[in-house]
Amino acid sequence: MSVPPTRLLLATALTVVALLGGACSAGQPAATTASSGTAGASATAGAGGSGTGTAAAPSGVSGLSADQAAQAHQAALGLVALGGLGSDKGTTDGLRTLADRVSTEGRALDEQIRTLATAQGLTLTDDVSAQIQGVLNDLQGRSGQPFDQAWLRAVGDLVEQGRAAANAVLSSSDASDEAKAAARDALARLDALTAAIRDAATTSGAGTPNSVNAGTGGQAADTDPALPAALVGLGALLLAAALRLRRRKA
Amino acid sequence: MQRKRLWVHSTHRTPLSLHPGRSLATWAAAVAGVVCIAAGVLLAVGPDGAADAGVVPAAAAVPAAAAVPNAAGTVPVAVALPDRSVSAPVVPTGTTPDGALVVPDPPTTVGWWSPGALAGATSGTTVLAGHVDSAAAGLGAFAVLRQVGVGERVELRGADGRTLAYRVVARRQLGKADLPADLFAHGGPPRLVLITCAGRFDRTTRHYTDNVIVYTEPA
Repeated sequence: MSVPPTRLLLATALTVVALLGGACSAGQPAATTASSGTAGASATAGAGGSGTGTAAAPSGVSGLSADQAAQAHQAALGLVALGGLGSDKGTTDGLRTLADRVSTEGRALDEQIRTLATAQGLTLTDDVSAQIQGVLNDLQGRSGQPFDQAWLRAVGDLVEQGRAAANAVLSSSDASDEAKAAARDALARLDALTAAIRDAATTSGAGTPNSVNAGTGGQAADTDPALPAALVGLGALLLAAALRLRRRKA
Repeated sequence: MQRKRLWVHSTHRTPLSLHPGRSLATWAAAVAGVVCIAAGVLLAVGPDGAADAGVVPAAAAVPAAAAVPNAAGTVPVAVALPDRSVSAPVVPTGTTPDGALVVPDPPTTVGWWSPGALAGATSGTTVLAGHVDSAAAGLGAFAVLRQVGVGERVELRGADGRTLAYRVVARRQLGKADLPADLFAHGGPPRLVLITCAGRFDRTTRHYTDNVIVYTEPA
């Protein structure tokens, strides 16, 4: 299940190129600012791959918006923060090991994004978004198994966010072949991480319930619908019998 | 003469010895019939089952990753329905590998689905589940959910000592296969959801056919 570090870094770098490739286009100073998941929607962080973009695509366009880039960066920051928290507060060796893996992947992605963003004039915030801070606050209020369970669900959500960004590249007609290859590679890694998280969630009882069985006695059961009808029928028969008896008596 | 005597004997004895019995049987049959019909009608239109009430509050309407709790809440340790004179301790619980929400064994104890929202969180659904009854211990703390009405008060006490008040806004009785998945989704407005069982009881599987879900919002 673990990914070799070299392959991880390569895939991460390719993903980052896919996310921010547009800013790498020669002679295109990027004025885009992507910050805290609230970057202006009008700006675009393109990719297309340096020198390999399709002729039809505007320079610096990869099919990925600044919002999506910021979202991917926030996912990376969130993975780093959640990984650290899981390493500190996780109650099992398995969860702490998974937390270390989450931290490593998040940190690698964050560093690569920062390096490329700085080179291209993109500004990325150092802070996690309010939403991710809310998750961290929520997790800080838990301990024991409730922490493990909520942590697994939070990490799963962030990984899903990263998968959404990768799928956005794959479905973009503007993205270059290199960008799509990188997105596919990133998606494979995230899928592997998702599988590990899902396994851990199942083990720790954090899965989404599909049933609630909260009664074994039957004392509170509804009446069988046949019973009222049977009682009414019996009552009618008895009344008819009483009427017949009265007539015979008369 | 003998024959006539018998006839006279018979006609004279009948009003005295048989009519009182027949009259009693007539009255007994009439009363029993009325009682049976009344019981049948009462069972048919009585308080069995939980009629749906109120409007279900919205669940998560935004992607999960962007709709996470944004303020620290507290772990719930007790729940009370003051209008029903019901109170019960609350313990954390989770999900079995086959996807069933774990409900604490003592029917007087309620489970908090701990992967979900904390009590008092500013977003997300806090889920509590409790037995309606058990074979060993009779009716459970959440047996009253089938009769809880819109506007009734629910209180959660947190591990930090806070008491958080909620108001019932809706109640639904659904087949177990129709359990809404959004009960367990992250994000959305803050709400507390109480779940138990209802409907008919299968004595073979020892399971109920339905779930009753009571939706509440912060008071």
